[in-house]
Amino acid sequence: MFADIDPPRQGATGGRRSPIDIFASILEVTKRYGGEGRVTRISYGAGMPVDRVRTCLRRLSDLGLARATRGEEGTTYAITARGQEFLDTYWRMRSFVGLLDPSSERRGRTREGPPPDPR
Amino acid sequence: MSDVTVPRGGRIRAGTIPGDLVVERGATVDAEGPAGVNVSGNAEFRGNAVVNGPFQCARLALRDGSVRVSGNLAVGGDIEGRKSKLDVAGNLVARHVDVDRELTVRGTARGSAFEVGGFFHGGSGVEADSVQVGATFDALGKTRVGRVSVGGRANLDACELGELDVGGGALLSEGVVGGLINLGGGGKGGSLRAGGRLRVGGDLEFEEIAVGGTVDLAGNASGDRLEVGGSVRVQGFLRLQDQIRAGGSVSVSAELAARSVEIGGSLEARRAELREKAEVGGRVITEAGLRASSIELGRHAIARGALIADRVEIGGRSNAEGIFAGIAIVGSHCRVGRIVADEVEVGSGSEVGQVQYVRTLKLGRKVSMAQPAVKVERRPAPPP
Repeated sequence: MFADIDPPRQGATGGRRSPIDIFASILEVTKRYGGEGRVTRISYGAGMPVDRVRTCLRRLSDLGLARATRGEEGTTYAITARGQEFLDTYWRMRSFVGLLDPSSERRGRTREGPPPDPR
Repeated sequence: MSDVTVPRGGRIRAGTIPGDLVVERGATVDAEGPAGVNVSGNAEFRGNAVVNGPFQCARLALRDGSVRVSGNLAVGGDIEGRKSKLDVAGNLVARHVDVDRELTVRGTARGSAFEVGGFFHGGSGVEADSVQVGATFDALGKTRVGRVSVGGRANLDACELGELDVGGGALLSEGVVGGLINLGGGGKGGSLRAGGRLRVGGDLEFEEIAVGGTVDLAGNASGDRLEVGGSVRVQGFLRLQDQIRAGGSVSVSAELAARSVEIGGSLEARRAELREKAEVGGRVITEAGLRASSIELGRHAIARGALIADRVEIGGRSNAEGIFAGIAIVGSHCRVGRIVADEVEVGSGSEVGQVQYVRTLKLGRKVSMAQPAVKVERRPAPPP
């Protein structure tokens, strides 16, 4: 039943992240910075190189899912209401994917266990 | 005041430095004694560096590198790490900690605020007013934080939090959260207590959840026990080993399975199967019926969908579609569509559409029936 819950590192069915998974993880990280998210910070959070994150953020801004603000210290990003709507739908959909795709469930289960020791 | 600079790849042995310290890339700072290195001014590390022993300074800046401190790290003011990692083998104390890439504290981390762009690993406890992490927050030991906000995933051992907001998923062994728990992607938990609201965007697995306010789950949920002061809304299925106790209403879009339920308000589910007792104060609305060992509905209850149990008892002035039971006890002034039971008792003033009974039928005064009661050899099977 329980699909993986680690969006920034894995796709909905446990494999590589799809573009949708990537956009969702970027938006989730952007949301945490309350409108003051800089591209370098977002790249560390999403686990992606800065140039790729910048391209994705530009696309998210064009689609109205994120908003860019140019200030003295560079450009910062925020999630929009439409971006939040996207995230809510994305997580619900992942829940259905976990329910309907038993292979993703099995893969999710094998990833269980204690979190890896960071040391 | 005399400032000290450790050149690129250099090494110094120091005790007290009565000024600022600048450490260039690849340098090593060794503590002279067990008291460690005490910098009365600010310290700046420009690249990778190692500090062997405890380290103290007024303010700490890290640039473009990874700094490892093998003892405790005590900073009077802030820590600022641009494009840096900080790894502290002992305890960390600072005011505001802002590290871009990764912060690892193997001992206890104490500060007013921790902001980490990538990963924050807490080895044996984190105490702060707020923790904000971009990717993953792992904390062993006790986490006492006012507000935790994580973009990716949170793995917390035991926590006492004011509020928890996780974009991805969360693994919580045991926790008390004063306010809101918001898990965007879903979560796994041991024993969770929240004073406010629990909102989960994905699936949830837990042992025991006690929430003062409301529970809103966008996915499926399974666990042991759920106690909620307010209402529960689950958009998938809800499967519990033990019971649900809710002060308000419980709404489950798919099936509900548990040992028993005790619900002050209404119960809505596509299908509800309980191994023992169902006690509902308000309405019961199911598509495929409510099945339990015993069902007890309060006065003025409304039941849409069949009530199927060994014993069904509905309070006075209630309205039920169909009862399939060993013993059916209907209060006074009720309206019931169909009763199928071994033993039937209907209170005075009630209206019943159809009664099929096996052993006994007791009717109060002025009970009206659309069709005459029928005594049958065996109870007809309830709807599937």
